[in-house]
Amino acid sequence: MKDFDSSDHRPDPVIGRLLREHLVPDDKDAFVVRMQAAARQEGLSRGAPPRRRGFFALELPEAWFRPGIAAAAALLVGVLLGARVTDGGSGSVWLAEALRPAGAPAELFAVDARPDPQLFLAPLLEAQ
Amino acid sequence: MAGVPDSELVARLVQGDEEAFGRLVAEHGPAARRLARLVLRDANDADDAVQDGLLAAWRSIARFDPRRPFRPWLMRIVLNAARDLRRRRTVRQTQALGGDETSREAPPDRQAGRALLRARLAEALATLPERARVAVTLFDAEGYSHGEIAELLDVPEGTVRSDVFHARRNLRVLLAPFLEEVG
Repeated sequence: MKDFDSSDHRPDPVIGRLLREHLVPDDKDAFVVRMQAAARQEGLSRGAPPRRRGFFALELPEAWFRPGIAAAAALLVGVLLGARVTDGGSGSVWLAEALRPAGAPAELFAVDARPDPQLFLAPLLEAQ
Repeated sequence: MAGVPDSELVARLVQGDEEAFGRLVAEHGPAARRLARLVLRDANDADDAVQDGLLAAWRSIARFDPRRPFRPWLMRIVLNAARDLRRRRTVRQTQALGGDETSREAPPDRQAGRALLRARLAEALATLPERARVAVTLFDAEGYSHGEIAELLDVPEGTVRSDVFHARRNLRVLLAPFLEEVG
């Protein structure tokens, strides 16, 4: 045993370690939980800390944020597309051109021109 | 939130932050419990006193001067709570200091050794006056200075030095067989 003078002005490391290790059991976490529960019971704790309040204030919208943005973008595209289709102007021409199958007569898909019945009947007449 | 200074935790405690309270309990609770057990010599009573002290500290946290260290302020409150509880209750002697508290994971022989040492330590501490028990624990186990202990116990610094000296000498005699193993 290391000789330690009882009148030493420094802390006694051996006595100190004994006291620290053997006076309190290893239930630190449980004790913290008990104290927090007691504080809640006493009404000292003003609810949950801000991080928990964020569930309603921040986390919930955050969970909805991406789907919301996607839905809004889809809606915007739909509105713009609808506006171009009903526009009847250059937008309609653009749409008709895009939807036209390759090799199909352009007259069939012309928006401004009235369809000519001859164009539809021509293959039948030729077959006969 | 590890490493958050007491001053910041105290500021959050003023706002009613329960998590900050938990951090302060985790940090200072063990020392507070040791102190209370030295006064009450009963584990359950001591924890009740610490609870009283901690809640009292929270209630009066607005009066705490943040420029001063938190632990001595808390320890004074816990000490008063322990003394107050001792006055209100008859101290139960049936459950000696830490007598039935052993590590659940320790093997039986080591567990028995620890239990025996704990019991001997409790007996040795019981031979000391309360002020000497508190003084030697605060000085040797908690690292307080003589001056800080004198302020906490409201006695002259020379008295604390004397208490620590006599308490150490008695503990070393009574715990001699164990100290040889530990030291």
